[in-house]
Amino acid sequence: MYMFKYVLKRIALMIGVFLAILTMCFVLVKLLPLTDAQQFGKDMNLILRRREALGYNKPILVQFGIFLQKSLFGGDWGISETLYRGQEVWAVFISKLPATLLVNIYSVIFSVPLGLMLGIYAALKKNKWQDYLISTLVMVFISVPSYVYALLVQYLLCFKLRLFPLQMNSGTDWLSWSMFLSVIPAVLSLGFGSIAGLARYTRAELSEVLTSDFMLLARTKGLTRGQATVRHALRNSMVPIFPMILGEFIGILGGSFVIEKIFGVPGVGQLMINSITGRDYNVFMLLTAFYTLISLMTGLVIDLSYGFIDPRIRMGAR
Amino acid sequence: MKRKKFFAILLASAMVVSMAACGNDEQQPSDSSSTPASDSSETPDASGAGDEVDGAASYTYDIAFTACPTNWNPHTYQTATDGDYMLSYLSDGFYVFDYNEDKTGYALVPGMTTAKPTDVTSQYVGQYGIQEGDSAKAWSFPLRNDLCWEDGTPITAKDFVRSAELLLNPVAGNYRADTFYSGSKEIANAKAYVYQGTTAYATSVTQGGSTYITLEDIVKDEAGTYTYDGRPIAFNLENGGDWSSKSLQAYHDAEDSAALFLKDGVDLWTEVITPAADADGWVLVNDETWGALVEIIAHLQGHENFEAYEAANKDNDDYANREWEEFCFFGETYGDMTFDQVGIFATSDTELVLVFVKPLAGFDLLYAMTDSWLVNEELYTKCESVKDGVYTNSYGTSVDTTISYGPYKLAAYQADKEYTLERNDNFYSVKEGFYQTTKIVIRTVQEAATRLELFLSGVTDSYGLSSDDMDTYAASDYTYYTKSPSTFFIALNPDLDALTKAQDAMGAGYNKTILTVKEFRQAMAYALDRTAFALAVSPTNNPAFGVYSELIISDPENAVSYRSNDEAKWVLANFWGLSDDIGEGKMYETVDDAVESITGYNLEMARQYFDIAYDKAIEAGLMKEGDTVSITIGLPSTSNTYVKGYEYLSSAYQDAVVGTKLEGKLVFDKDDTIGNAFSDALKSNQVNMLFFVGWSGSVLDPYGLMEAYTSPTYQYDPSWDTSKETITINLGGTDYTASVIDWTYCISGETITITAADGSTKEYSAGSSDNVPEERMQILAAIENAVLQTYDLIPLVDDAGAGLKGMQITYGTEEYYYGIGRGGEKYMTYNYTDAEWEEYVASQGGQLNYK
Repeated sequence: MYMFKYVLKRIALMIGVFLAILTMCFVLVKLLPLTDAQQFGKDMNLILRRREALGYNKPILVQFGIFLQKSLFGGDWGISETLYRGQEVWAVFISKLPATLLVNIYSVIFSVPLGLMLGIYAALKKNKWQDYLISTLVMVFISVPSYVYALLVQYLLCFKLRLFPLQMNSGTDWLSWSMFLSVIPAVLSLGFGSIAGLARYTRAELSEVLTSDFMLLARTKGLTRGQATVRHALRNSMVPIFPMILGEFIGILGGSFVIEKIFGVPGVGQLMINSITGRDYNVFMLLTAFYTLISLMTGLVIDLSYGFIDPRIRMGAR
Repeated sequence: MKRKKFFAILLASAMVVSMAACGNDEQQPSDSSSTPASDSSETPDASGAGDEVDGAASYTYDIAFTACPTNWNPHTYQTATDGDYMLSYLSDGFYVFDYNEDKTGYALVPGMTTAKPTDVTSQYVGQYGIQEGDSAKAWSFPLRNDLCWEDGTPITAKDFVRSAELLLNPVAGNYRADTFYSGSKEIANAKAYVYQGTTAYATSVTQGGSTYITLEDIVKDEAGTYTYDGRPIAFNLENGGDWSSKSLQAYHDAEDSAALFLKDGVDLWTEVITPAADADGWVLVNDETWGALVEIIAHLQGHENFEAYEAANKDNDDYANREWEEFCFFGETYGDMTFDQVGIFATSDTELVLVFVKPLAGFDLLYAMTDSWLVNEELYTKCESVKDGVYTNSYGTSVDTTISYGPYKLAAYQADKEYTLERNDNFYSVKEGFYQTTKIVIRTVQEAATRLELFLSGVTDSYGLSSDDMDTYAASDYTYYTKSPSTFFIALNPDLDALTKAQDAMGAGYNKTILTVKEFRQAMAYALDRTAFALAVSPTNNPAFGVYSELIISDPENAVSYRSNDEAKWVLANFWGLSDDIGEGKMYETVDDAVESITGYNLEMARQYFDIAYDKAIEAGLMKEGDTVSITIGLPSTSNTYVKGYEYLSSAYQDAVVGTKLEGKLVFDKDDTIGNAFSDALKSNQVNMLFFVGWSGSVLDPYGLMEAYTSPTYQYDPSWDTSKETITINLGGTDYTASVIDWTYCISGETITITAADGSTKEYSAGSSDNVPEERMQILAAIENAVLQTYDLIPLVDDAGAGLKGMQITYGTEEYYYGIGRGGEKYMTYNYTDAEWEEYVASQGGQLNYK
């Protein structure tokens, strides 16, 4: 019951925050100046008439009301006016999402187990050369931004060694072998940072747990080191690590501006910034609503997940 | 216990998946390395479909650009990417650019037509405003009888008429509807059809600040609105009209603006003007709004009220009573009409007649018909929708909404990624044996480094060189240099009021108003080594010395460059201070010798002018000794070119003042937040200087393009009042004077009043159909001279580019010619089939050497 009430309360707050963010973003983007309608040799009235028909001359709050009614509650996100003129923004977004999802899912599949594995191994070998090696590599990969790996991966693996195509394949055969090969450079570039982050965090958490009193008790009860680590240490250290892994999954939908640009991934990574610079209000608001909702829901899921990972944590209980 | 097992299994599974992913890395190199171009063969729906045409080998032209077309509807497309990289392949022109007979230049030849058009004006006297004796207004275009869509469906003249009706659809308000009424191709009643049922305010009352109406001629209608010749008069909150590039809204939004809008304690903005404005910001002029407008103008001119301003201007031809007109526009009310009143109709399946408002003939007529508005009616109407009063059309946004009648057809399209065009074998020119290229693959690749790697791997067939590549490839046999007609300038805004305000905001010890001293700007022109600037910032560009480069053509019929005319050469000689040194026994024998010697760089003269400017500024009280001159340079972006350019310019000018009275007193800072609003930033003096700015296009119409430099609507320096500055030109032995803006309109075909020295006037026009080409040319040169002599628009570099050509292809010609380029896909030939090329690249180890 406590949990149920807690979830309801969080959902109510989530809706409030969602609407507040949407309002702020709508007002801010509308305050940005539109490109001058005056162009050499053009009949500017055609442009002004279009803007009038689109309601751009109405007060911003009236426009926001129309947006809430039509888009948020009506499900009609409108037509792209600048980036993909004449096309439904929802259709554009949906057409671009699979490429981003593909690259990021592969990246998570690649990086989460490897990151955990390296972190666990480093913790178990704490203060030995294996730990020093892993920790040094982790520091390097955390410090260097992902676009640097991307350029290196592209130059060395794709151009010089010709192991992979320079760019992701075109087309929508997402699950084909050739498509898989073509996304590996992007997956590697995205994954290095995540691996390093996870490895560092896992090592730190696990090292701390391994020195806890209950671990000593577990060993004195007759468990082997392996049994104690898997059954007790790992489980306890996962309490802060699991939300981090969930966070990785949020990023799946966001895409990476730089990685998508370098490897020709036709995803959503560049949409947000392009929609702002292009004043494509409908695209911008769809993305804002989508990402805000996903982020808020993920936050809720992460919070709730604590209770499942560690039964001692009870949300909403006094 | 179960949870423990589940978690352990989950962890183990994840590790296995991870290991498997790692293992895959090592298993797959052989496939991808042996076929570096294999990614393109994966294009959906296109693989293999166009590989073999008529049993012949396949020839794929593979290119990469930074942008991808997103809308190629001929009625709504907006960007050059949409037009050049998509629509040009899918459509055709009535007349098209081709090589001339000996491939030494361009020629305009029939495209979708079979011959030149026939003047049929006399057949339509009494219709479409055509009068007895008119000529070159109605033309009949003979269409080919084998025109068809990509699926073989025939195209007739009626399809063009119906497409025109769709283009001009008043409900749609298509972005390109003005194709039929802006510029020279003004079709009878086209504008009235688009605007039917509305009132549009498109014509400024003073036509650039040159023509005023008298208050006595103004008639008030029943509602008290001022009208002239039956047309209502209005001003717009967002448009300063001919008065200024700043609108009333901009004045209102500026700091400390309250006093400008106050009259006897009444806030004119909130009490009078905005309540009278309609949704588009138009305010009809009546007694009340007129009173408010003239009061605001009087305040803007520094007077207490209108009465004071009027009194001060009594001797100035009563200007205070006419100045308000510069803010105003005439309203045109358009009644309902049917499309058969528009001057475009078919007389048979292969005869299309266009009726123009103004005479149009010769090269200009053919040039105006180098594009087409044709759409496939059935598909087009399926793509239409109207929701909440907003018309939308998705024609030309995907493979399903595209049908071609040009040399290529769209086979596959993925936005922001790649699209494939296949040869359209139903296209007449393909049937005639042109277009060896069977397939075109166009990729979107934003990183220059990746584009280069794709090119060196043999995937793409061309690569545009950036400044960073020039060291490696400048001397390559595969590097092709292409001059572009655009000239880039340094633009300055020497508006005293705005500079004073900006200077005051900086506090004591800083100066900006020295920019108003002409000699300072002149020194800036001379102090710049343009060759070194180009080398450092944009190595393919060339130094610029005038408003127009040598590629701008003043006589398109004979392909004569504007710069090759004597008048144009004297303009350069004047601007660079050489005109007194030309003649027998002088430094330069001829004007050609003088022009040949121009480098645009004279440090000694620059230093002299810096000293003169300093003295003048001190003397005029603009500057105090010890003040530091601070110039803010605007950067539209933080791209390498702009950043390098800023660094070069600031350093070059600081070096140039060494040894002058300004030594150590000249500093620069940059504002890189202005984005695409860079022009507005200069006009409002948010920044004091821009570089790499200018106007492009209109290669064949330098007369029309000149408006961009002299019209208050477009010019960078709003403080140069071209309606007041006059030029005197000797025409037929008599000196005639008119304002700069009037002369500009006159060479575009407007009739203006010019005044002789004895005070007599005459109506004069020097448009393309007035048959005074020498005088037109002379006027153009005089206007260019006036623009340059302001020294607020300093020529910097002429645009040019360089690119690498792949070994698989051969261009039609080595030389680049306007209109036809190097022959395009029409004349491109192949040294290898696709299969041979793949083998060749593999034999080179997958990497080609283009150094």
